[in-house]
Amino acid sequence: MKGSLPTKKKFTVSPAPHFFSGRTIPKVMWTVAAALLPALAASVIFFGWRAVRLQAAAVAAAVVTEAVISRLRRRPLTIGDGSAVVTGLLLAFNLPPDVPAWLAAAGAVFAIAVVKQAFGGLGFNIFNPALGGRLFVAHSWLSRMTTFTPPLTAETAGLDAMTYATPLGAAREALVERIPSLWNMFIGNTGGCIGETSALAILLGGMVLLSMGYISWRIPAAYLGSVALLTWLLPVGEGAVALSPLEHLFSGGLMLGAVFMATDMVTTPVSGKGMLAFGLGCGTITAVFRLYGGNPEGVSYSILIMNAFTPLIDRFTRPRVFGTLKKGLWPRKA
Amino acid sequence: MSASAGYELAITAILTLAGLGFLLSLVLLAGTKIFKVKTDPRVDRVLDLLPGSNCGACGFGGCNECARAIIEEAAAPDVCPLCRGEAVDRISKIAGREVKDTSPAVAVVLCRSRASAPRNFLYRGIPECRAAAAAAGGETACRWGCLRYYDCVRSCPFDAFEIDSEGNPVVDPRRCRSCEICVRACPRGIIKMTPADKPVEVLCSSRDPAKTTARACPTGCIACGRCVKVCPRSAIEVKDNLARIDPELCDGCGRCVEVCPRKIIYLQGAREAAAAGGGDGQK
Amino acid sequence: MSRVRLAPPFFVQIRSGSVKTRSFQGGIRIDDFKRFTERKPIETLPPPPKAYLPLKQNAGSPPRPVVEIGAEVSAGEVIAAPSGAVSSTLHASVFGKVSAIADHPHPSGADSPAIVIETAAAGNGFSGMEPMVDWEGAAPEDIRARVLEAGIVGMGGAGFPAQVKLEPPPGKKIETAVINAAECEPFLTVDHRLLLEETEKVVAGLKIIMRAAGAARGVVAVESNKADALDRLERALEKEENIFTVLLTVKYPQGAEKQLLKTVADREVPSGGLPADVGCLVHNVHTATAIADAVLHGRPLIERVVTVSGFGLDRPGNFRVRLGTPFSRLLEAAGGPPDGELRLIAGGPMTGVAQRDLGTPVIKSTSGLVVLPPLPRARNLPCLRCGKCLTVCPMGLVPCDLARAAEKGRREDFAGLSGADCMECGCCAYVCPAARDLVQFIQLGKALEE
Repeated sequence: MKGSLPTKKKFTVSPAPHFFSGRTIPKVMWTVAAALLPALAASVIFFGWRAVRLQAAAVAAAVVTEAVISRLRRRPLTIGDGSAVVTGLLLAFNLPPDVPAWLAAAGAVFAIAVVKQAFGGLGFNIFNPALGGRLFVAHSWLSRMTTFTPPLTAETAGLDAMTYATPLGAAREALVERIPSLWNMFIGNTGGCIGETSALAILLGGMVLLSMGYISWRIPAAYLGSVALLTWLLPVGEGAVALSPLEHLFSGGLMLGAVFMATDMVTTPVSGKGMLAFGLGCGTITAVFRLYGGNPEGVSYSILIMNAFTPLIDRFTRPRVFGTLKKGLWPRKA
Repeated sequence: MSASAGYELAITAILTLAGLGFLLSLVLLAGTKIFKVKTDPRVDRVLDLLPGSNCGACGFGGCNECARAIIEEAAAPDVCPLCRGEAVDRISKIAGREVKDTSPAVAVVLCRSRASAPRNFLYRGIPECRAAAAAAGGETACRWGCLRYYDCVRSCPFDAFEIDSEGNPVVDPRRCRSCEICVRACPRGIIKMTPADKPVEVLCSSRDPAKTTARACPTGCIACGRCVKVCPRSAIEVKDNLARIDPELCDGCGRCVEVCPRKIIYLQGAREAAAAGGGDGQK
Repeated sequence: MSRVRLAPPFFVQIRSGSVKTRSFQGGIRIDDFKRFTERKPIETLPPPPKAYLPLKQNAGSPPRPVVEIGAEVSAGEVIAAPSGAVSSTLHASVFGKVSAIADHPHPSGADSPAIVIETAAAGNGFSGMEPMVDWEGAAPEDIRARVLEAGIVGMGGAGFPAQVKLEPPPGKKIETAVINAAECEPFLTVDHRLLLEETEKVVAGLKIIMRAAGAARGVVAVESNKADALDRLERALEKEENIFTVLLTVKYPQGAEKQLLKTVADREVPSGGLPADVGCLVHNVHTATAIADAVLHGRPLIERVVTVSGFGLDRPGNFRVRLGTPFSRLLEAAGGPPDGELRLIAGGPMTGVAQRDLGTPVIKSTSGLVVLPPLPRARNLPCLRCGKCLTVCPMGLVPCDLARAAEKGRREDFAGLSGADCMECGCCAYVCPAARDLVQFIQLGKALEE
């Protein structure tokens, strides 16, 4: 090749820039899936093979649904990007340990087919698919979805399953003796959905995502901070016992929601200010639900409600354009 | 007793709802009176004559706006490219303005190359013609020809395009409504409106000399002039290295179609369909 | 023009030896790959057998040819004269005969008319201009006329005629002349080498620029990855009262004019405005040396230094070549292009233009030639709305929404999102996980506005 150049060479012409960060959708999604592994491990420790069964069913159903719909829409197959796996896992994490596997599968099918693909697939969905799927099964099979059995390791193991309550449920019913210790809440040794109980495991995964820059600190910080502040300031509703702000943070689906669901890129605002507003909104709604609502928990609803506000938040939190005073309200009509 | 209580409940409910409905209807009625926008009744009559496809080809945001523009004299009565003949007459009568009738036209893509046509390089960017045309002068070795990213196909509100086996976008004249949106969408400007009854067309746009064209495209016009010689009505001339057919003189005898060494002269419209049995007549 | 909140008109002076670096909002930190060539001294290549000199080598209107085919020209002879207020002069870069004036591949993409000169086998005729010995006493207009006569344009990549920039716009005063030695594009080491090897010339160029623009103060702004150049510079500036150096953080796009001035002067050039709106003037290092050559030695702009770097080259380096030298000769000098499909970029990898012909010539604004590995496969997936593009946009724009507005042809939305403020630095597309060609979409949006 030296000295004489080939007269005809094949060239690739692409627009600038020609250099890329190497961060791709599959990489992001599979990293999120990997960051869910500590919580997955915790779910197996505390709920045993019941958890694995649900996770397998939900992930399989999500991936198959994604594949079928990609085929029906004649779009390239997108199961390789890992987003369906993440949705399936997150959905399973939001289910109580004793629901049947078909229920997990039904939720996953709904999440992918209706909440995600019906809007146009990844990037176009308005609502968090996993939460949408969870809401679907929660309303279709209400009693199954509110029956919690104790973790394998709990001292109450062996008690009548029907009488076991989540920490938030216990606080609502003023069953003080049923409220587990703060430590048990932190490590996840309490009743609840399989993937949400261990704040420790979720935080571990969150740290990974945060350190890699895949999620911003803003939404979790604003979310957790506002829940802590409001549950500390506001009086609790009638007939319930107050939990400390820390107990609130470590109980129910808050940690899972704040770290993995409220940080979903597609359904949350794009700007830093918008993310803070989103987290604040989620936190406020969650706190109000928990303190005064009909259900002891409100994380799913609050995130879904704020999902609906995301376009509005985006519109009013545009950054300042360099060299102007304007906030860049959008769209500025001529 | 419980039954009568039930009736009472039902009657109360029905009356309440009916009353509510009545009150609200009054509010709505008042609303329509107060906020009524005065519209010229002629607008609605024009609107009835417009196609209602809201394609935007007239340059307005839908048929409603178009109708208003016609009545407000912001647009000509024949501004809608989909309305021809009788519809235009009636619209101009309503608008009280005369227009000269125009003969119908259909879009034709003046390029029909091969999938194997040489390319200067591999383009990897936004897969749209308008983007590809700006990248290093366009991917195709022929700087006149179709880029084959199908901006025209996507722009057509009437789904009148088909893509043939060699990847060329081809207009189905039966579905073309002469809106000219594709003409504006093509960055290379190779889609032309031609009279719908024009029988024969040279499907090439290259003005390059024969040598350049022959290297860049297996089916480019090399300006050999055989069509000119064979035409009994002298309807064909070669200008700027490209053969062109005068629709006024051409009677569609098809001799040029046979002699063209590059096989790029095609019978158009119904004739094409008849000659090729629906296909595009390519070997 | 919108009013702008400006910092008080103070000037941050970071004098010699300061270790504190300064920067701006947004931007990206990327591997600069300068290690390939930063220690390679500038090597002068012989004139090419045929020089292809496109008329379009400057922003604005291209010059008009003033030679006939067949004419004998000596290097430095004017072959095309300026045609309009924003134009430049073009000189023969080699001694020889004009063999054609025809379309030829141009580094910006499409073919463009070029004057082709066949280099004479023997002799080295050169015709320059009279040196301006007494430039310190010369009128600013005379210096600007010399810069136009020498055909000098912005050599960092934009190619804006230098004499136009040197003239303060009506009603504006230029207080500070800044030499942009940020060189923030990866791979490129032209400015670095010039600062090291031609320190005196850079300083002389800056002083001439200050004289021509009426600027009282001069600044050389250098990214901290060129510490050796800074040392050399500071030694050369020891006796200078009003020339300062500023150490910049290594961050892309630190060398973008507006970001540079934000860093150096802590002022924002207003949207749609010019550096003169904040009393500044920015010139590239190589432009400064070209101006020094033109004024002190009477040499017109007929050669420049080009970094040839990238992956798969045996001998990457910095080469001084005549304008019009085909890329193939540069690649040969650097050890030949690698086998297989080639991704060859003229300029840096962030803002440069992908090439499609090895016969494409070096022009005045060609700062580098970079060979890159093949493009990753999947591109232009749906936007995830992750917001990463917002955090890196140095102009405070929302690239994902701009791209969508452009894609859908929504002109008002695009304007409402200040699409015209985009400088196409490419940070957004660099970080986009959906691999969207955001910059190209924004270019389409700008085309919509016309």
